[in-house]
Amino acid sequence: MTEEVLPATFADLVPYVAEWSLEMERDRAVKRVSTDIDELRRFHDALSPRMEAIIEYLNTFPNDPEALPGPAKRLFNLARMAMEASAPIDLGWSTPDIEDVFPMDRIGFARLPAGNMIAKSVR
Amino acid sequence: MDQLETKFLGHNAGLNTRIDVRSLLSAENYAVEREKIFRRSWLAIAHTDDVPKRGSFFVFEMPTLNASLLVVRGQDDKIRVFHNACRHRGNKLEREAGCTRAFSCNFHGWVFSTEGELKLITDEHQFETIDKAKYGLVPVTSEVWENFIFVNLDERPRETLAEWLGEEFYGRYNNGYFDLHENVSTYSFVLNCNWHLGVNSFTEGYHTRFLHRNTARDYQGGKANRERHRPYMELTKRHHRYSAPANADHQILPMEAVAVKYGRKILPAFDTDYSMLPSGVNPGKFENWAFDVCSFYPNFVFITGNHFRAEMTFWPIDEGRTLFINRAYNYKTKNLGERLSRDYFRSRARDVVREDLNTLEAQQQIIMSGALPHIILSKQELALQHHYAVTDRMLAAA
Repeated sequence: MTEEVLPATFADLVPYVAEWSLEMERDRAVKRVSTDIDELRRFHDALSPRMEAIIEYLNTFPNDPEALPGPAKRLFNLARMAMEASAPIDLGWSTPDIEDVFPMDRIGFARLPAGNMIAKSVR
Repeated sequence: MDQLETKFLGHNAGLNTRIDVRSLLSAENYAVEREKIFRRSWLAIAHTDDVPKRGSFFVFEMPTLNASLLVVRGQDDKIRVFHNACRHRGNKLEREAGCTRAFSCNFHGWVFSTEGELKLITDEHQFETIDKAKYGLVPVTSEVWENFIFVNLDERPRETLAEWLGEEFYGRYNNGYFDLHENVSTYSFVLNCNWHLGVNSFTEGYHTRFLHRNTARDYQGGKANRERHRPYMELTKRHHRYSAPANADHQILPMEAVAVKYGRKILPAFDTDYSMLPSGVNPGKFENWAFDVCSFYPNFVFITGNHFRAEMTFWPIDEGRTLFINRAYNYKTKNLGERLSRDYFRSRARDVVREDLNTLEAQQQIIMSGALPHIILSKQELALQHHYAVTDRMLAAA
């Protein structure tokens, strides 16, 4: 039997998983600033009414994202993206990023845990 | 209308409001700064939880003094910093991070212990007699304060770390505050600006009402403090600390309300239960407090909040380029919902930081063009005045 994409209660959100369920912070940040605002709003409008239910559901699992079963993990990453995507909508921006700002693609997202933080050698 | 006035403390003497920044940004001056400032300072490079287990290590490449530093927690649980160099011919022992029982050089197989002792020279009889005790890893002077690892690359450090940090900081954070948090994100990249400008951009709150009007419109100030004056500003011999005023009337956005319900307030909203804070945090015991911004001269700026903190370090590569490392720390979570809550505030803070960074390369270009005879600083930019006064003092020292 193949695994569900998302837990059954959230089956209506499955269409968003492929594009929006992103595990890495960098991918979520880049996704937010590079997606058309209307697309972002559609995603936000689908997720935000479900966020409390999602959190209540996820809070029944142990506090270890690495150990989550597949459906719950995808739901967790989808919810992470919803958190990332919400500010432009809630703040009423007409663009997904601030107009004149340090570009997201110049931000270097280092891999965690902190013990693996690497400052690249620059000469 | 009420306007809160700042309570100033400390070393206000010898400050200038007009600074000829351009002369500091030259290549000639930078060469002097490397030796008279960076080599003579205690520099914060890491945290003890970056090397959590016996044998944990990581490499920090410091561009400023061209140093490759190996930070390692020994089998004896002691944290040491060495030059990341095999004593044979100077190959780097390690490149990244990990956990090991011993360091083995991939060039000719020499082995060093995690305490720095030379344990094995391969094909040893092909060398004249070597006293291994004299060829251990070259140590770098280091000390731990709370959970920070500092190094000093001076041949003979002029002060202990306690003396360098001063009593206004040294014993003021000793209730385990730093251990309440864990690293949630680290950003590391190169800015095309001088390190002075980088430090300046994070050490005043005057800009917040303007620069952050789109990302965090009402997080500071409020009705009784429209100008967002810092309630508290303290200058020590080299360092500074000020408190940022929270806006009690901050409007919570819809998703923000979800994040607040399932976690703790971070930026742009702030929690008013200060019971976990040590004496060094919110030292003015200000009621509507957001966070403190502190700096350890020369290049380490850190924000201490309730349930969060952030660090910004500026490592000069040359007079016009700086390696910027920003670490974000948040409270340790008890469930997945709190992780999602943290994510929300993280994304808001990241945008604010990007706005701060955005002015830097513009300032660099304008100042280097020679357009401005000097910059001019207000009382709310006292930390900048202090930064330049300390710089002058260190450059003037023999």
